[in-house]
Amino acid sequence: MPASQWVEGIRLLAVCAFLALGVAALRARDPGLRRRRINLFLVCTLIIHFEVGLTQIDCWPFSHYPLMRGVWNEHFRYERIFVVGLDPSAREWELDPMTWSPVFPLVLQAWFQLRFSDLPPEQKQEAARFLYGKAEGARKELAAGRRIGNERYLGSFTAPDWWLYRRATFTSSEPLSGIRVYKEAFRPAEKFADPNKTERVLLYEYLPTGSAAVRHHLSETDRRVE
Amino acid sequence: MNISQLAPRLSDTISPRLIAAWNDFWFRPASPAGVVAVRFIIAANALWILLSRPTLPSLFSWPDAFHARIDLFLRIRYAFFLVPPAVEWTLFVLLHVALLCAMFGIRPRASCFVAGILLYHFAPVENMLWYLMGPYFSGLTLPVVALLVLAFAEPPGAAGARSSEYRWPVALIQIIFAGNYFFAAISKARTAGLGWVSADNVRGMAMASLTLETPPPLAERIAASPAACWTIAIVTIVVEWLFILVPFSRIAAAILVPVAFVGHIGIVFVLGIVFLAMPCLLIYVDWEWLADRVPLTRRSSPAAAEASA
Repeated sequence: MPASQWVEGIRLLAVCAFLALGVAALRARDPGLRRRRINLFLVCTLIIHFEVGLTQIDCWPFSHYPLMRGVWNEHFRYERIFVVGLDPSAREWELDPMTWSPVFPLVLQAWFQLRFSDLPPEQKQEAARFLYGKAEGARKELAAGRRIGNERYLGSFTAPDWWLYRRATFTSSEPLSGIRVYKEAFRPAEKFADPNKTERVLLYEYLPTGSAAVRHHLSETDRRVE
Repeated sequence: MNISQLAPRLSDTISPRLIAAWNDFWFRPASPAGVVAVRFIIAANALWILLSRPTLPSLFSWPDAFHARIDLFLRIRYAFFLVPPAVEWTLFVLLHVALLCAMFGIRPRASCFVAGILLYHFAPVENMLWYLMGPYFSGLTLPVVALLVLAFAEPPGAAGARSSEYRWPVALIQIIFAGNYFFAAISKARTAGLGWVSADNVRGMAMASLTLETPPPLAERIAASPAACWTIAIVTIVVEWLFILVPFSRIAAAILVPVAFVGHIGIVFVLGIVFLAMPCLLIYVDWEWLADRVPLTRRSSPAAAEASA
């Protein structure tokens, strides 16, 4: 059994122990017994909590909170992955971050970074087709002046993602003809001085059947046209 | 000879003063106001986040390409894909109902337990796509543990009498939330060491946020000021290291909780990072003291309550 599976098993065990000790305390009727079980529950919960925090090994919902822990520098090279929509004239449109609801763009970006390149071509296409459908659905709603995704019920009171995103101010009035996935690399100091000072690589392009979009120059592995 | 004769009782080996301090911290009589307030704050915070993710269960219906690489044990750990999507939607609605009941103290033990278990299942759902470290920053980490702790505690009765049962759950939840800051400091120390506490680091964060998704309104101004960058770096690390004192000291709470609150607001404007569990800082308000002065709940005065107990 791989080590990662043992780790998942131990994490599940910790949560089960927390639950079992809590239920045991709950079920005790005799005051003395209840006090002893509560003490045991407190001690074990604190041990799990501090063990996770001090060793920095995650055991969610007991977390080690690795928040902004690295060193940042304006001259370091950073990367991001993002998706744009294509209109029939192949003009690229920034997509609203609520397009991918219930997930936010950072989650999608991480999925592209970690998983997408390992997928077989047919699954890449399946995923891209789905994302294109979401992008076009969101475009229609936005063009009609309606709220989309996570904002549907609470509007401006919606809890944001932990990262704030720039909202798309414009959207294509024509149906999208496809989507493109880009990876962009930049150094903050350079990009701040000149917003065009970035390296952009096209990772994937999806054009559905009958798309009028001009096809981008891509290798056969990266272009998927139905 | 039985085992109790062989091994002295644990309580015999620990100093009586330590036992007294332990009992005083965890079990000193408290009014129900703390439990009622903490339960409301935690459940309301979780409900706000869930209402802001109204289609969360739809992720179970995303194409296989998005779920293809999820570890089997991870699926078991969070009970992913064990029931059909329609059942997931039903459970999601049940979670909202349970949180509402928990907020208003309707069947508090059952509602807290159901809400805690279902949150444990739903909170990590979006992490199916990229699980690395757990959903620690989704704002739902504290509610999972806190709601379960509240489910195991004695719910406040109608009489409102003071009881040791109303002290330990609040104290435990406060300590767990303090870890959010204290462990973040440990994480920074282990990853970046002293290098984290520098103007260059804060300037690097501000510059990066200026060039990522959203340029926060104060990022440019802060990045241009070494003094502001140094202040942010030092205040952040000091607050994070000291925050573990908050559950144990009223003075620490009075100073550090407002500083942390202002710090979270500042981070939104400088780095564009939102701490979704920020409303949970309200659990450090002395609700018992407040309830004694503002009779918001139906209860007798502490003295009368003790007398009736």
